Amino acid sequence: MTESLTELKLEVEKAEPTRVPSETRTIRLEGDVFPKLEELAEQENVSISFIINKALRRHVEWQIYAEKFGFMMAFTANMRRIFESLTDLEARDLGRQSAENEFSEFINFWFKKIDFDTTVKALKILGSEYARSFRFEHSFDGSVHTIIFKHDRGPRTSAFFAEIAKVLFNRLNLKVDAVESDQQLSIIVRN
Amino acid sequence: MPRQTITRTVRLSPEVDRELQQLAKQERVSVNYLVASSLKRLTEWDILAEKFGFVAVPGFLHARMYSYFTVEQARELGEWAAKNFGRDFILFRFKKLSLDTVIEALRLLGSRYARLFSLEHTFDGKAHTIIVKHGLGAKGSVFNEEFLTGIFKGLLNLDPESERTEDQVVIRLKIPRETRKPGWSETYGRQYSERLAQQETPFSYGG
Repeated sequence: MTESLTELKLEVEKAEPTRVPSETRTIRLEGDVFPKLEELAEQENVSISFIINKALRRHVEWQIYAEKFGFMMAFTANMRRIFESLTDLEARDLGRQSAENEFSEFINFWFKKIDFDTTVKALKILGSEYARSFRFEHSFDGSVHTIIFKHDRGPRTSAFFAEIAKVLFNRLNLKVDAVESDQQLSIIVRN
Repeated sequence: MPRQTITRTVRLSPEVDRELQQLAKQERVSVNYLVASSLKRLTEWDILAEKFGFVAVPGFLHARMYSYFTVEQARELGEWAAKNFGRDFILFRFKKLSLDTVIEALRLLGSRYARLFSLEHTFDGKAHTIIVKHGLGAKGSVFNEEFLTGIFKGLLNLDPESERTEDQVVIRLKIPRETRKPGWSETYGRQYSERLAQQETPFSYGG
């Protein structure tokens, strides 16, 4: 009985799928691109339309700005090695310098102003699937914000990001408590 | 021979379509160009970069990192990168180590996708000249010189000559006649320039 109910429900869902609004567009692509997209869609068990939309969203949300801002790609193991070559003091100094320069420039470039929301959004972008600088988690319990940077690149990287967070939030008159471990940095931001 | 193209109709989310139209207007290109270049990038770089473990870093931050190194540290890091990152990346992408795949890998790392440096490669029939312009300063030059010579010497057992200035490294590789693959270089350059000429829209390697 239960089985037949499930089947019936699936049938109804099949017959009346949720219609997602969409625009149709005819595109012309070089010969080898479509077969590669089809292969990728098959590997990931999704539709080719999903793959295309995801790629285009990445293009309009990230790539166009990242290229203009001057982002480059770095191999994550190289980054780990670079940070391991630094002393703790050097990693912290690099973090402070970068927060005052590159990271502030990045927030301004992307959002045109620096405040709490744009700072968190900028960190979220760096932790997104596009930039992959770290994995980003943010929660707010009504009084304090907890932000996690999961980077898996050792203690110097934690020290580097801790200083970045302190500079970025301290200048907004917010207090930052940082808990550094080898693979992750957790910060608590409060008034 | 005309380049083969495929025409397909795809469904896009209205939001993405709207943003593409705005972007196309700003950049003064067609929506088709944006879609085609984005999907080409996905198949040539993004999937590879995600699987291999690349992350995006502001270029100036990368340059700042190198300023903390001693020359010796930069050299050691370059040597390490050639043995590890260089070898692994070439094998991951091309499945074999050869002069062709090394140069293709360097082109990819110097492409507008990765932007690790700008690359110029020429071959005059006897020697390859590879110019890497990186913008990372003096220590970055030490790193790149060691990385490039490490790849050619350590991975291919060739004998590169190198020169470096603050922002650039030049590698010269004389290929002994007996080890040269017949026709590789002569056909490679021509095919590559033909490929560029055949593209509908300009695409250049280098930042």
